[in-house]
Amino acid sequence: MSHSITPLPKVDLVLVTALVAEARPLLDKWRFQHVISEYGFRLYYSEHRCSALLITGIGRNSAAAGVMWASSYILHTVTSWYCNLGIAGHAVQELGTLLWVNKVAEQHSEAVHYPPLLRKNDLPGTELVTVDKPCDEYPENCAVDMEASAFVETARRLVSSERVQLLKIVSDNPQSHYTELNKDKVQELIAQQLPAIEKFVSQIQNVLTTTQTSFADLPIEKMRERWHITVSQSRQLERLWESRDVLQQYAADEAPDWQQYSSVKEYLTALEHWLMAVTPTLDKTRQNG
Amino acid sequence: MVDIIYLEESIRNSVVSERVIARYPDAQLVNIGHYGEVFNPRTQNFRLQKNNPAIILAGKDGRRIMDAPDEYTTGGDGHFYFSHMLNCIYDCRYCFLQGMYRSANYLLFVNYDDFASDLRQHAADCGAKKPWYFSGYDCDSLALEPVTGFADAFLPVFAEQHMQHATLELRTKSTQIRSLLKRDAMDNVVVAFSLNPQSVIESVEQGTPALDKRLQAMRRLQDAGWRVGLRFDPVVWHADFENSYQTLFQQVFTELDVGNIDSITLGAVRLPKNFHKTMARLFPEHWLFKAGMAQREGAMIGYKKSLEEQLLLFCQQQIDRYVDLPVFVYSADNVTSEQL
Repeated sequence: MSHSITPLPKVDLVLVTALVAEARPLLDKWRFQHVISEYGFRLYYSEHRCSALLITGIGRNSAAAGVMWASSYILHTVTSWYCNLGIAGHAVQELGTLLWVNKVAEQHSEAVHYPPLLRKNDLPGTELVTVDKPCDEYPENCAVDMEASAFVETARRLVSSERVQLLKIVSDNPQSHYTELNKDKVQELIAQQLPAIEKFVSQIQNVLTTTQTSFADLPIEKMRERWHITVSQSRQLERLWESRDVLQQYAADEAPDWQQYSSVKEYLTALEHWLMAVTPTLDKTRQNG
Repeated sequence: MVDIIYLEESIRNSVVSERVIARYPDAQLVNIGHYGEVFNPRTQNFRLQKNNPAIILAGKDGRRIMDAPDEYTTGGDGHFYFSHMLNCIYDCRYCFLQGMYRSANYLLFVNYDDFASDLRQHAADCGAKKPWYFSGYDCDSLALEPVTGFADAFLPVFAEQHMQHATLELRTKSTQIRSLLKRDAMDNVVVAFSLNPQSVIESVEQGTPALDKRLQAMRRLQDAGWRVGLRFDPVVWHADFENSYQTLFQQVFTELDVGNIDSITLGAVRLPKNFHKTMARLFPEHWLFKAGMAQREGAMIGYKKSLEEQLLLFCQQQIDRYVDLPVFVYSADNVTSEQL
């Protein structure tokens, strides 16, 4: 059965949790609205935060399938990023500690991932091992969960590795068994760390926003109404249009107006000549950093 | 500042590793199996990583001395390079490393002793020929000297009796010259500085020392008897090109002891086509990858041939006003000539 999918309007952040209880504090605080539930996954959207929240269910398979399913509702941009937020056991950290994950290893396959640290934060870093079954054996100085490795591996197919991050809150340790956990306790652990989570989110978004670049849209459809454009000419147009956008500020003359040309070939030649004549001025470039 | 140090287990106890770790006591230490796990994955974004690069401490196996590209010709009978480090603490927009590597992390190979053994063997294998070794091909040779102790470790190797026929070229923009000044000048070491007008430095050489600081460092080296090379490469075309380069040459040849310049090279911005493509994607808003650029012979992108010739000829004529030395000129067409 096929159905049409309408992508969410603008998604900068995709938060991924395994449990509803992990998501609940953020669902309330960020005013997420339910979008769709399907195949055991639930997707929410917060317009004012430009964020999606996905609840996948427990385990590696659910995490991988859920992220891939949700991606069909998301138009990825250069500012889109994924964050896995959830509880984890830890060998030595105290209950409630928020950890930034710097290494994810998968117990069953030896696959390893290293999420890059985009900006220094105050959170303790941890290595994490993803296991297939709940366990009460904690690897030395490591966190333990059941989704992270699959989350990372799948999300990295969608965005670059810097844009795949993981935050874990310690829910159990050798002194406090995971069987003592319940829904309320999980919600409470997450809720207590909301300010730190929001600070982390804001730091990452700042980094991603500063590297964002936008260009004037190429009026390709209008051009097609006027000219026959081949695939290769279309690519050339895109490339030169971007250059035109960048170099225009340094030009003595206005860029050629495409509507004045009778063929795309003539316009491309004129645009190339114009681009070659533009000399950059260093004073202006400093503003661009 | 470095916030994360990735560490191969096998080199954890090396002297260099311990020094680097001690230098950044607050950094998170993350154990890795092989540096490729962090440095090589495909889906990385160099520009994003450059916001906060980590250090990767690793051992370099396999071939450690490589043949230098043909255009690296400044003297000697054969040209080679070795890289104790990949990537650079500076952020020069034209730097080809952005196009070559997926990761912006600083990959430091700490097995200096293995490099030194290979250099000794390689130099011996050259027999009567005079090999020339570049160290600043994949990084700046001196920029991270207080952390890596690279020059401190390798200068003694080239001071050895049986290495006197070999030359080491340290290529740098850095003013970290303490390791050199604390020892006697060596006849077989050249410290080659990349130079550009201050306006170009401010525009496209983020994080590098100012021109006057570089010149001061060079003069101190000259005064101490070190061989100093000038690398006007890459020359960057811009609206005030003639004025700014004229001023540059005047500053350089006024500040330095002109009679004691080892070698001069000159070249304009040029990149292998695939590197240019990657870099233009990373920085689509930057004029450097667009202004005056054209496809050149082979798989190179550089300034349009007539423009490049004009820029290099102007610089050459200016240099000739001050010194009577051959200038090695490099064009995007990979043409190497002593004179344009």
